[in-house]
Amino acid sequence: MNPKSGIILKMLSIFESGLFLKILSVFITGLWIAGLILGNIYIILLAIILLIALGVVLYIHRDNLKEIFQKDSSVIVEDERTQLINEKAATMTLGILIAVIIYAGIIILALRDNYPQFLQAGYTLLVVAIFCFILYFTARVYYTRKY
Amino acid sequence: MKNYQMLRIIVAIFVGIVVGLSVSIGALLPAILAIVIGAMISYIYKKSTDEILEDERIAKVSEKASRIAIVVFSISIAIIGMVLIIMRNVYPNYTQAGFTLSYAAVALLAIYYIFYGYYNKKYGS
Repeated sequence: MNPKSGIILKMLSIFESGLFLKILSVFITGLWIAGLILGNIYIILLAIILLIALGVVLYIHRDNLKEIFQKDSSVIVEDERTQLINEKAATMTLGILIAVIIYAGIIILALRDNYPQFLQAGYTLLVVAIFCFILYFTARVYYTRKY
Repeated sequence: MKNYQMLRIIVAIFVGIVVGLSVSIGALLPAILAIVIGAMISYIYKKSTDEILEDERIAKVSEKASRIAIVVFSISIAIIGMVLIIMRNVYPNYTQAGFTLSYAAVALLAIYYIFYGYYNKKYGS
């Protein structure tokens, strides 16, 4: 390996370091907020592109994320207990959220004569509930096959 | 388990029909009554039966599916809501949908962290 390619590889490895990834995620959050305040879709698009890039890097290194992040700080590593808590909390949240969204959507739609200005919100809630159901059942089919 | 599944399907069809009709005529009371009756029938059957309604594998699959669904769902609605709010000048008709999605994302996070705190305490923090 010649010195030039060595330097290039070293430079490229910076982009895969834990510190860089953390700075990038903070920067992306800043872009979201800036885009929201300024009302500029291009800033949001930039944030989405960077988010996808970050996701690709994390996906490629999914097996050694622990090493990447533990190099420079104490990363939160998910143990079995945390995983159990997360899964139980997610199950309860999903159940309650879907129920609340459907009830709220039905109430808003049923009261459309009294509050016609909220009709769009009612339809949005029902569409969101259907989207959530689709996501859940797709994931369920996947995990049923996996186990 | 089969009887319970059958009962749930019948209850879901009943509630769906009544809610659909009450929404189409713009009356709230039948919808609420149907939901309450449906929930009560399901609850009473669950309490009174000796059947095994859910085994460990189904519970595990359900929990894992919920978690991934929550992650994808929260990110999706937050991004779509934000985009709709940002584009309020271009598509002003969809601003309400954007705010609805954003509020839903906030509600989701709030509910999630309440349950996270609860289970964290339950399983010893």
